[in-house]
Amino acid sequence: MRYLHWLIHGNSLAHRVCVLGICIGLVVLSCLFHGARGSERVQNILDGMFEQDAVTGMFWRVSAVEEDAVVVTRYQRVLRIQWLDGEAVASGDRLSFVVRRIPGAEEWVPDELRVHGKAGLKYAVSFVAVVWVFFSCVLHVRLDRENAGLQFSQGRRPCRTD
Amino acid sequence: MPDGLTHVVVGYIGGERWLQGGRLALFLLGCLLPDLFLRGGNFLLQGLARQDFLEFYLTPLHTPLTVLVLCVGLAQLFGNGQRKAAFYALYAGCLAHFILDFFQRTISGPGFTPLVFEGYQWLYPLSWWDAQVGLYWPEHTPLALAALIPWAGWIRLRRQKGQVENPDDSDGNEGAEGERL
Repeated sequence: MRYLHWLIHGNSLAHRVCVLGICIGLVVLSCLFHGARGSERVQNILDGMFEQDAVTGMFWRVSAVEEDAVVVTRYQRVLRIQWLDGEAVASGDRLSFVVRRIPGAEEWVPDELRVHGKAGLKYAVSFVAVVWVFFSCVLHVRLDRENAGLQFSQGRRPCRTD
Repeated sequence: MPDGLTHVVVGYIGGERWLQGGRLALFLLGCLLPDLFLRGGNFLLQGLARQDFLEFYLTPLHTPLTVLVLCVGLAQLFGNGQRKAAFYALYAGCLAHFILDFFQRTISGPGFTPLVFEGYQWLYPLSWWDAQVGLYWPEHTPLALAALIPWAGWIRLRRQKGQVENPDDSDGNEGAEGERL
């Protein structure tokens, strides 16, 4: 109990390092559990979908565009989807879909399709945001050696002698 | 999910009224944190044979409970007296990020998502449950920036004008608002 109280209310550098270590540990555990369990779940869910001849997929990558079909890949699976309406799609685009397979046919027939385009634009736009936030933090957050930690500016307080 | 700039601009529009200086900077960092870890990690994994499966190891970095622990950890980098405020600013930004993501649309449509392995899993690690409102597609958000950036600019100009016309009042507000968190 004493240790727990120290962990919650402590202010020393040792306390902070300890809390930081615990947080990193918890996050790593959370990631490892999700990684192991998530891979297993996705395999099971995809197996079920393929058995039922109906697949819903989000953000699968277009690996090839043929005359009347597109080939999409994700989770080491390949789907060949019929492409009838002539909507613009290029290799590398991300595609979401609801498709079903007619027994005996090689291609999957789309019930719903959505072309998301390439992820490059989003990465480029996001890079601008990262730069903005980085400079914002550089302007307002600084290292305070006395406190052995970072400090941020709080804005100027009004002074009675002003 | 919406792109990073949309998250930051919406965070700025929503947070600028309440937060100043360092708190606003940390709030904006919070708006970006979930994507910074998840998308940044995905970017590094590009080209690996089992990339789609390795991404599952990064997915918790975009869930509210894991990010809460992450923000507690990041707040420990701040000195005494500011740690709590830093945590609140960072996590408030993360929550703003999640709210924006919650309104996004996917192929599954609004409501409960049966594709739990590809959704946001809002309650992970307690549950794999996922839900969405479904107002806009992810590729629409860069277009929304055409309206959001001028809006943020107008807010910024209005504040600067207010500070020039009444500097004492604006400084007073800064101090008062600085203590809200």
